Amino acid sequence: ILALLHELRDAYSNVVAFVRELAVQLAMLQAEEKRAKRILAVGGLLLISVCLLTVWGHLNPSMTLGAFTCLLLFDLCYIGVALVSLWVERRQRCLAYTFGYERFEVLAVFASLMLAILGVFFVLKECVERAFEPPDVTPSGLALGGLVGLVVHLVAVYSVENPAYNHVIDASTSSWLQEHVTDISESLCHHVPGLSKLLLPRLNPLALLGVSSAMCLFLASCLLDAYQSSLADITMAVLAAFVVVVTMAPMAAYCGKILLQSTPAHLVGQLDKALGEAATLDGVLELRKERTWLTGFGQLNGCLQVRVRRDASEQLVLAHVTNRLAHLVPGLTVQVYKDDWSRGLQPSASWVAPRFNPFAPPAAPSAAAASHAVAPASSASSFLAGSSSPHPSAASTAVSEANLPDLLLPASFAPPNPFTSHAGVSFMLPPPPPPPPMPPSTSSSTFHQRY
Amino acid sequence: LSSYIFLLLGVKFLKAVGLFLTYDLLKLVNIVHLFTGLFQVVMHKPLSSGVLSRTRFSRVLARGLLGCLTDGLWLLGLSLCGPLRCILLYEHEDLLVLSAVRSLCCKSTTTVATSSAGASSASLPARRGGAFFVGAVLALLFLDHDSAAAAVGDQAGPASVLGLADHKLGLIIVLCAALLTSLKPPAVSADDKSIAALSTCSSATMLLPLSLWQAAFSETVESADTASSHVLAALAFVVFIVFALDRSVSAACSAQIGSASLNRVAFLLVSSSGLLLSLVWSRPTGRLSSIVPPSEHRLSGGCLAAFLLMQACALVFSASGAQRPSARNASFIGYSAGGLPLYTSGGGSAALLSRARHDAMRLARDGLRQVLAEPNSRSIFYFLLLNLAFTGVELAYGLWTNSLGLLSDGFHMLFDCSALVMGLCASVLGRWSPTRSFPFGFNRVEVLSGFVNAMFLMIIAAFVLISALSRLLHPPAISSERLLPVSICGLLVNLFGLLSFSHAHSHGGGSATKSKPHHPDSASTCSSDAKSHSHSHSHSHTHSHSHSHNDANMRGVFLHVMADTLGSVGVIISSFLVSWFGFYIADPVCSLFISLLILLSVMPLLKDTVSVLALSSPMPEAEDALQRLLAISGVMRCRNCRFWRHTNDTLCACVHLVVATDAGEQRILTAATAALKTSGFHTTAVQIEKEAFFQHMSGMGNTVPSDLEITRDSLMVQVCTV
Repeated sequence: ILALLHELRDAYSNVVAFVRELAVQLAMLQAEEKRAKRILAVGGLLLISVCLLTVWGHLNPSMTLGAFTCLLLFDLCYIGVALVSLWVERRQRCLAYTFGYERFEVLAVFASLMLAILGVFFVLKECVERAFEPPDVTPSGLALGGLVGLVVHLVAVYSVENPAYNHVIDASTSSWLQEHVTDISESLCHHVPGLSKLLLPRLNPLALLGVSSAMCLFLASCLLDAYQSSLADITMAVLAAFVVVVTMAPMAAYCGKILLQSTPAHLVGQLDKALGEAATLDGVLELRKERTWLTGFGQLNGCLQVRVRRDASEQLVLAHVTNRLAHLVPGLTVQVYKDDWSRGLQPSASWVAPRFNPFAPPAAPSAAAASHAVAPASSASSFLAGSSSPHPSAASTAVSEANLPDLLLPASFAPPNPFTSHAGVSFMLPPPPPPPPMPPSTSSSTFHQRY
Repeated sequence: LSSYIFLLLGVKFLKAVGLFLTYDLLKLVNIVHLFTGLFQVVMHKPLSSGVLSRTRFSRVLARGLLGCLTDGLWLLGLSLCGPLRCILLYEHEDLLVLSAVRSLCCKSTTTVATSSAGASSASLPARRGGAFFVGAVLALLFLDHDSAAAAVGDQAGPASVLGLADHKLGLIIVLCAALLTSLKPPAVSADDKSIAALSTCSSATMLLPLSLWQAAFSETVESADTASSHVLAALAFVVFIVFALDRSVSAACSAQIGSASLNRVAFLLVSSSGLLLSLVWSRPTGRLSSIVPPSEHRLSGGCLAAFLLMQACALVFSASGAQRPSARNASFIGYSAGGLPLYTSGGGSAALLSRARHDAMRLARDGLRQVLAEPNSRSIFYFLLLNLAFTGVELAYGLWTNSLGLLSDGFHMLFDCSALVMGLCASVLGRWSPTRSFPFGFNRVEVLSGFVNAMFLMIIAAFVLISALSRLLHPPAISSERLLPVSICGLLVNLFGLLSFSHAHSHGGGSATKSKPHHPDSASTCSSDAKSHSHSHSHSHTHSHSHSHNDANMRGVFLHVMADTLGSVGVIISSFLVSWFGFYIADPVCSLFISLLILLSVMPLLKDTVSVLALSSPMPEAEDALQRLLAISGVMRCRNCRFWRHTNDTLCACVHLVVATDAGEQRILTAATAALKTSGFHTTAVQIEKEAFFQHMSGMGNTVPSDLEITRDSLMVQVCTV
């Protein structure tokens, strides 16, 4: 019990320290930034209205109002994201955060979206529970609450400058709601062309969300007025929750992809083109293990390994490759390496015959197929048939080398890779330059495509 | 064209009038249909072309049976739910219902088979139309005020057997009739027309005994003979308008206008005239009023809403159906040699359905294999199954005994299972191999899932906290006696999960958790929980710098299960306190304590996952690596270095080293990679830069941004500021 108390005290003091730090940072921001004051003012307004709606909800236990309160709580998070991006703007990169603090923006957006979704999840749960024991819901004040909430929501969405959210809204795919509204308004503009200026541009999903939630609330109030059945309230709450989830899901997916260290899909084509150009530079033999990822919204980082000819100038190749890719990938690290002659001379006991190497990476079908043509048919088919091969000795050596290239090779030649070796496409030099006499064994899959 | 429209307007109005009249008549006689069949036989002279052949006879019989079924259903529905609702549901012929059903059925298949390019764009309005249709039907079903009056009015109606209001049953019947109609192929040629007439006749003869039987037992029969001339006149009008004139006129118009737009216009006309009539048709007109009871199915708000929704639905469907009638049920199979897309037409949706089913089967099988391949996901999966089984038993028992508390608790458990599902998905997804757009693979999914799970727990704790605070002010008198056995069972299930997960995630050494309390003694349970929790906690603390299997995903799942356990422990304690001592305040105090406990125990997980997701440097390793790098001879400074923790046990580094002009690049590369590896970084990229690089770059017009330069002197300063 003492240990437990100790732990709890630790956690508690951590939380207290965190809150104090937060307050200090907030005070600093507010003292030095004019924008922060405005954001905080809107946040205060939001807080007041959230309290108002919560009290309202206590007096009148309507689930639709609860869902709407969730939306306003999300607005508070939205304001928080704006503050975070102000804070990030003022921070420099340091040793603790070598990529800078941009990731915090992404994380804040993701967290706020997930909080909204999870909060709505709770509303859904409440709805299911209420369906069994319906409380008395009166329509009084629902419409008014919805109106107040809608106004506050729109103020929060449109008056606060929020670069992070603006970027996410622009870059993520359209939500289901947006698509349908766009479809409807397109056909509307077909008949009434005057509305095209108002309706045709892409609508802000958050504003749309607020309007549709408020509409749900009005509808619930009308239905309650007419039918006095709390089932109407629950149905509308489920509808509002559905709308929230549908709106938030594409944005959360976009942020989640950034957090997973992914290359944005729209840049893949451009990147491949630029890498293809870089592969044709003089002296470059191949590009491999290229990895690019977004750190913040729009800041692309990457690393790349370039194998060069033995007589090439590394610094020149480095400068050229960097020059080619710098406009796409500002934070690029290029590892230029040459084949190590000395390694081929060292006798190694675990070396296998070179013709087995092409089979090494299991997920390089082109390499496997190409080598299938030249390799002895029996061994090739036995390997391709799977691990249960009729020639256990030959196949198992090949497989073991495939799985553990780093153990067999000196660290200087093949930089270790905890991930499997088929991470990406490799770019080869289209016309084969005079190839240096190769050491008889390499574990690179791309290497053997040329034979 | 406009003359046709006017003609159509007139006819449709008359038809609506006829339908209203039919409704009134239906209260008197049920044999309207018989006259129709006779009339059509007379008009089309189907037998003039000769004796029926055998195949035609069978066709007539089949269609007659179908028509009998539809018409019988329709008339029954009309008599039950009144003319306006019947018009709304039935009068849009085959187009609307068919497309609505198709769009609703294809919803699942189009998502699977998005390979056909047109499908996604075409299905968007179709889906909306389907939603409108469903909304309209729901509005008719649930928003009608009619129900109260009708249910009180005729208790003796046939619908009261099923416990439904009269008009609701009528609506359902009419809907079935509409579905059946849409199955029937439309009559096109003259030959078909004669067949249609004959089949109507045959269906009428089939209906005859039924209607005679009904007429014999109806109460209104004796009053019918008093005004039989009026009845006969009205009958003739109905037969002429509703069945004969309308069909021939719409057949003529469809040749002129086209069937899609005809359908739209006709439905608009007939439904709006029906709406108008229902406003004025308060009583049966003329002399019939003396014998016919006043109509009870009036206009209501629900009707109005359904009317609007149906109009929107008809608009959407006629628009989308006119654009692409063939591409709807054709499935894309490939490209021809000329580059044109090829479609198969027949049985497209059926093939799609079977393919989707096949795909789903394969997906499930593969998923199961992946789940069972690894111990972590396997344990989550088994625990999930256990939890689901428990929930299912609880729900079934709740339904059986009609206990609301059990039911809501079961749904609560179901929601808690969602976290487990998320953890399971993450642990399967995390093992996927890298792709082009995920160059590092999916390992980070587990960290992300841990983060989301932590947030989920925080929200749970916050909700519990708020409700506990509000109950602290007004402690309600609870009676949780019946929930006590359930919560004990839940506690046992959760304890089992707790043990298995703590075993999975803290390798052995968990001796504190091994004392499994079988009896729900509150104090010992609480302390053992706390110990296991503190144990996991300290584990994460002490080992966070070494490369242990410190899986954020499993930690999140573990914490979730622990929160559940704490919840059931809280229920047990508080119910004991309440039942023995009458401390009603015990319940909110307990939940307050539990929520605080959850919040505090989630904090470390949240902190760790945030630091991984925000790409913070793994601190002692990064400092160590920098010291080693700067110690390599020839390295002048470290520029633009990046260290991050990819997952909890994978460290990555990208470093730019500025070296002296005369240093050997490959040697330094080897040494630097080795140094990084010694410090624990396994994915590395080292860029060796000399003075020449900067000269080349400035020669190409590019400037090298200088940021985060670290030399031997500034390293100490940087570390100190951190």
